[in-house]
Amino acid sequence: MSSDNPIVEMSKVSKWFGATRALDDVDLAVHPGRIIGLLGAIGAGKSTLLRSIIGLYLPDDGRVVTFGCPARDLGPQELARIGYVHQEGEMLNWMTVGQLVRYVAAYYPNWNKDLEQRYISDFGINLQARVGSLSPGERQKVAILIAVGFEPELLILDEPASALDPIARARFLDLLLELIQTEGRTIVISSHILSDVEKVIDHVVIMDHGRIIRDSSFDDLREEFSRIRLTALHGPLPAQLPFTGIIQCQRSDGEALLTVRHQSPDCIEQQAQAIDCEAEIQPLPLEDIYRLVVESKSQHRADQR
Amino acid sequence: MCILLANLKHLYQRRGLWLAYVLLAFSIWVSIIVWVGEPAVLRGKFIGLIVLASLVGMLAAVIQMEILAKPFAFCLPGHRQTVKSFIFTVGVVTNLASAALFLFYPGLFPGERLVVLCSAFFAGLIFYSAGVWLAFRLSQPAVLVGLLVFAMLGARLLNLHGLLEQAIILYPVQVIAVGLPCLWALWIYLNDANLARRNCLRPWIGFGDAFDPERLRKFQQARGADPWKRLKDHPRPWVEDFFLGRMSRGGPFSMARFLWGSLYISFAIPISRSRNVLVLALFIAIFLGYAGPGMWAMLAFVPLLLVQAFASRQVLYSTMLTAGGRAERYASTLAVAIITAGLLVLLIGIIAAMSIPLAAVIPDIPVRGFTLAYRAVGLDAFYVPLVFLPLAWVIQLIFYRRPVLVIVMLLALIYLAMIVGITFGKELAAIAGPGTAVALAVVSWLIFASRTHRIAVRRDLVRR
Repeated sequence: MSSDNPIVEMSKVSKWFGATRALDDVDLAVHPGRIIGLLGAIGAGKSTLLRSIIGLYLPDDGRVVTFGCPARDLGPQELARIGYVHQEGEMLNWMTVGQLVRYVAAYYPNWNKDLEQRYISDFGINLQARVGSLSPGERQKVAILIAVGFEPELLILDEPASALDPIARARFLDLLLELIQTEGRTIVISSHILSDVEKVIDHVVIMDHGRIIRDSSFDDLREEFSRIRLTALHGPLPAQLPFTGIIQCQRSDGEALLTVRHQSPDCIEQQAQAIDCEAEIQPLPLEDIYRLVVESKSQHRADQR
Repeated sequence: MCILLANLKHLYQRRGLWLAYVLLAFSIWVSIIVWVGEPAVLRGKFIGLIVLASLVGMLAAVIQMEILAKPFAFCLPGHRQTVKSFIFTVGVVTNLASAALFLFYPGLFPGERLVVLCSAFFAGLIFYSAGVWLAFRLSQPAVLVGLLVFAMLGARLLNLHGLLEQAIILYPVQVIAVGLPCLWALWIYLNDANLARRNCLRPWIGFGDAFDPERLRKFQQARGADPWKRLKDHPRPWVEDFFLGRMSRGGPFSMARFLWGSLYISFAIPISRSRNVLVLALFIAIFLGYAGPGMWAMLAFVPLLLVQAFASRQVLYSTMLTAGGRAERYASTLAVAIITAGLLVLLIGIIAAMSIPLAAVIPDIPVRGFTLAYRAVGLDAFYVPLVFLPLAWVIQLIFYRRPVLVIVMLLALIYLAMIVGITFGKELAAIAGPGTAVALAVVSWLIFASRTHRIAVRRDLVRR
C-alpha cells in the first residue's frame, strides 16, 4: 500500500438502529499521518462511525475498508495496528490494573514497556487497584494506556478525555502530541472538549444527524471563517459595511465585531481602509467554527424545505 | 390522583413486574394443585401462598426502594407516608386473598374457620414483613430470590411446611400473638422519619436492575473498592503466569494466543478459587444426599439460571479491543462454552464421587417422626447441563441486550422441560438412555455453534 492510500475508506455507509439512522450515506477517507478531529453533537453518529471502522458495528449499506481489509474481516494482524479508547471504558473489572496491563500486553509482541512505565508514573496510575474500583477518570487513564502501549498505527479515541480532570487532560494532550511526532501515525479523535482537540488536529470531520457535513483540513476551515474587530478611525461606522459573507455582526457607535466567511485578509484590509476603519483579524476558535458550520447546514436544510 | 394511587399504578405499568406475576401465577397454580390433588390436613398442603407472601413483601418493598434510592426522592412531598401506606395496602390485600384458601380447609367448624382465617392472615403477614424488611436491609435483594429456592427445598426436607400449617390450625391465637408485634415493628420501621433520608442515593440494586449490566457497573463503582477487596490476590499469580505463558507460546497474532487469552479471562477466577468450589461441592453433596433423586434432577437445571455469570458473552461481545477478529471471537466463544460445560459435568461427577464415601460416614437424621436418610448421589442427570446449557447460551447471546428477557426465556425453558418431563414421563422413560442423551446434546451444541457463528459473522459486536 503506498503512503497516499487511505488506511480507512468508507463509501456510502449507512447504519440503522431500529428506526434511527445512525449513519446516513457516509463517505470518508482517512489518510496516514493525519490527526482527525471528529466533531458532532451527542447522537450525531461519531461513535457509530468509529466502531464501524474497527468492525464492531457492521454497516447495513455501503463498505468500510480498514488497512485494505473489509472491516468485517479484520483479523489479528490488522487489529494489532489499531488502538481504541472508547467513552464507556469497558474493561475487565475483576483484574488489578497491573494484571490488565500484563494481559493486554501479552497480545502484542511490540508492547513498549518504557512507554508503559513512563505513562504509569506520569499519570499516577495505581497498579494494585482493581479496575472495577477505579473512578471514571482513572479508568480512562488505564484505557488510554492499554490503547497506546503497543504504539498502534491508527489510534481511535472516542471521547478519551471526557472524564479526565484538567491536569490529566493536559498530560493526555502532551502524550498525544508525542505520539503524533511518530511519522505516519494516524489518530481519529472524537471529543466534546473542542478547545483541547484544536491543539492537536490537522483535519476536521463534522457530523450531524448521521451525515458528514464537513470534511476538510483544519487550516482550510480556519481560513474560511474570520472574526474582524473593526474600529472607526474618525467618527461613527457607516450604516452599511462593505464586507460580503457576513455571518454575525455586533456593533456599537465606533466599533463592530464581525464574523465573515470566505474573505481573504488582504481583501478585508482593503475594504476596511475604504471606509476609514482599522481591521483586526482574529482566528476563530474551533468551537465557534463548529457551531457556524452546523448552524449554516441546518439553515441550508431549512431553506431547502 | 393521590400519591398512593400513583404508586399502586406501578403494579401494572412496569413491564418488569409482569415477569414476577407470571412466576407468582405459576406458584399459585402449583399451591392450589397441590391442595386440590391431596386435601390432607396438617401436612402443609395449604402453606404455599402463605410462604409466598415473603416474595410479595420483597416486591412491594423493592418498588418503594427504587423510588427512595433516587436522588430526588427525598424531596417528594408526602412520599414518606406513602411508603408504609403502599406496603401495608399490598400486604393486607394479598394476604387476605392467600388466607382465603383456608376457607376451604377440611374439617373446621364455622367459628373455628374464622379464627383460622385470621391466623393464616397473620402468618402470611409475618412472612410478608420479613420480605419487606430484607428488601430494605440488603443492598441486593434479588440475590435472595435465588436462595429462596434452596430455603424452600430445605424447609420441605425438614417438614417445616407441615409444622407451619399445624401452627396455623392448632395454635391460631399464638400465631396472631406473634403476628401483631411483627406488624407493629414493621409499622415503626416504615414510619421512621429517617427512612427516606437513609435510603436516598443509597447504592442499591432492585430486581430489574439486577439484570442491567450498566446499573450493576454503576452500583459497583458507587460502593467503591469493597466488592473487589474480596478478590484478595485473585487471580493467583501462578494462574496468571500459566495463562499468560500459554499466550506467549502461541505465535504473534495467532488464534492460539487469542484463545488462551479468552480462557484466561473466563476461568482465572474459578481456578484461583478452586478450593472454595470444592467446599461448595461438598455442601451440595451433603444437601443432595439428603434431598433425594427428585431434587437432584431439578438442581441440574440451576446452572441454566447462572448463565449470565458465564463468560462466553464477554468473549464475543466486547468493546475492549485486542488483537482478535470475529473468527477468533467465534472460536474462543465455542472453546469457553465447551470447557465451561465440561467443568460443570466434572463438578457434578465430583459431587457424586464425594457422596459415595460420605454415605458411609454421614448418619441418617431423625426429625420429628421421620428420618432424613443420606444416600449417595446418582449420576442420572449429569447430561442435563450438556443438553440445556448450549440452548441457554443461544438465548443469552441473541438477547444479550435484554437481560430480563433472557431470564424469562430461561425460566420458560426450564418450566417447559419440567412440564414435558412430568406429562410424558412414561413415554420419555421408554426412549431415555445414553443414546438419546448424546443425540440431544449433539443437536443442542450444533444449534449453539451455528447460531454463534451467525452472530460472530453478521451481527454488531457491541451494544449501542
